[in-house]
Amino acid sequence: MILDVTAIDTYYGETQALFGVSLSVDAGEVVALLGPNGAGKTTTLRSILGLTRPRRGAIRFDGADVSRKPTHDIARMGVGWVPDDRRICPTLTVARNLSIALKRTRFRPWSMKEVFGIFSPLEYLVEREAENLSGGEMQMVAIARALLGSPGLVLFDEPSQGLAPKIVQDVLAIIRRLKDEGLSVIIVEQNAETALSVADRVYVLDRGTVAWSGLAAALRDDAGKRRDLLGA
Amino acid sequence: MDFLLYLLPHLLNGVALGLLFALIALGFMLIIGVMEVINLAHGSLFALGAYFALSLMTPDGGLKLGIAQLLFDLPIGWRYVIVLILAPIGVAVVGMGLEVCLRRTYGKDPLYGLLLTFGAALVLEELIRLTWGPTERFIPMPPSITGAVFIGDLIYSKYRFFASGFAILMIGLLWLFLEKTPYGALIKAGAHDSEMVRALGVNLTRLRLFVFGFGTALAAIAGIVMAPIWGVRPHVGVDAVVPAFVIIVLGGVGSFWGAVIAGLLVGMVVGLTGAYATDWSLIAMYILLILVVTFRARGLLGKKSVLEL
Repeated sequence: MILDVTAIDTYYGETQALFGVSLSVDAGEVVALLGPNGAGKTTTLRSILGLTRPRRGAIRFDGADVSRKPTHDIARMGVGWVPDDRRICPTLTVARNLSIALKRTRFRPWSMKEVFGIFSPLEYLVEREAENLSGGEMQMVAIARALLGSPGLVLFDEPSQGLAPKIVQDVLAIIRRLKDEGLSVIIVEQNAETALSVADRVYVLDRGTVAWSGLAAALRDDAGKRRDLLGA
Repeated sequence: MDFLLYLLPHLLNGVALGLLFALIALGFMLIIGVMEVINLAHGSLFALGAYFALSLMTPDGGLKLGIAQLLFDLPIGWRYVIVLILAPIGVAVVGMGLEVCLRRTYGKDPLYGLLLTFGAALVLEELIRLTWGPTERFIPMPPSITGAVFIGDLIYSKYRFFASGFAILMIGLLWLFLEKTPYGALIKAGAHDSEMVRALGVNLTRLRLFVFGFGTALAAIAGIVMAPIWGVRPHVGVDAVVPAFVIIVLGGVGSFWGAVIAGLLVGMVVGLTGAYATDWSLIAMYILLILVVTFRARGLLGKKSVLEL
């Protein structure tokens, strides 16, 4: 097991956002977090990254307790993040956005060359200022940046948001490729269909608690259950 | 023609002043970018740079350490070069101490950071008064950069040329550092989105400490070079922090070249009004600021401002 989250309570100021959320991810597994807006999906990712630290509960990554570690240490242990709003620095070129992300962990390292092999358009955009990129190109940079940090676990927050269907398919292909390489993935999605097409297991969150968890196939094949849990 | 001959030295003074203002403002802006703190002590650290230089240049500066004698025995030119390196490092250490005190204010109401740095400015100014006395002091300068140059019929201070050239060099080096080195990329990314750089594995605490020290070192360098132009007085810091503030608003917060252009503009305005209407020379700067905020709040090269709809 690469990630083990046990009964975390996370707050924004005095407002509690997560109520005893537990989940786990195995090596080479793709886990989807589904649920409506405000269910606590992004907060769960922020808790894992140490950006919004849980007040109670424990988070273990790669065998070590990370619930009290600073974010940069967690990142250096091999947790990569692809945020929903991409968060690329607009005043830097693509090359410089990628170069600040390069780091080594105990996991498989990725070279610029390999990353350009996956995202071939990026090679021609390296000298472009990031503010002049399209939404799809931004997403490529965001994923490339996460890979260059040699992650063992990549957190995708709403990767399909605002992207054309063709590009969403590309993103899903990359997630499958990461899985084949033995990396673990958590994918947060509002769009259940997208997430279910790549996920092995699913956690459905509702108002800060885990409402259901199980195999993705169970939800994929059971439209009734899907409607009950996700309203869609 | 006579009119132009009369005008030219003042324009050149304005350029020297403006370039040094720009250097102060760029350090001020780096700190705003990464810390989101308006460092009101920036001017006091500028003054401290001049006083550190005073103590390292001459035994009159009150430095009693035996090792300083080695420095005083050097030829004045070499001494000046060493001082231009050592004094800013000393000020950077003081600046880093201030950053450690500031840490608890990050992410809170900006008023806390303003109050803390305002207090630090007062403390630094009083410490300067206690250590070096309230009267104006003079830093000895190498003869190679003092005296007059003759350009045709024009007599011009050699030192202003040195000050302008040195400021241009520093601004150029700073630009190269920010645009061409990985540290520069980290600073720019950190200024844009501190959470994201942490999630990329960057120790933000260390980055902030470095940027604060770096920004205050730039103020100190400007302080040393400005010393022969403005004189070295304890409250000279106020004269430096105000133009820095005007310049970043005028140039547009976050814009490197905006700050340089605005620095030159403010320098010219202060230089020219100083020539024709001395009493107006400081007011002119504020009138400029009011005009900019009224008609173009984003500044010359800034992005759309919160003051604009």
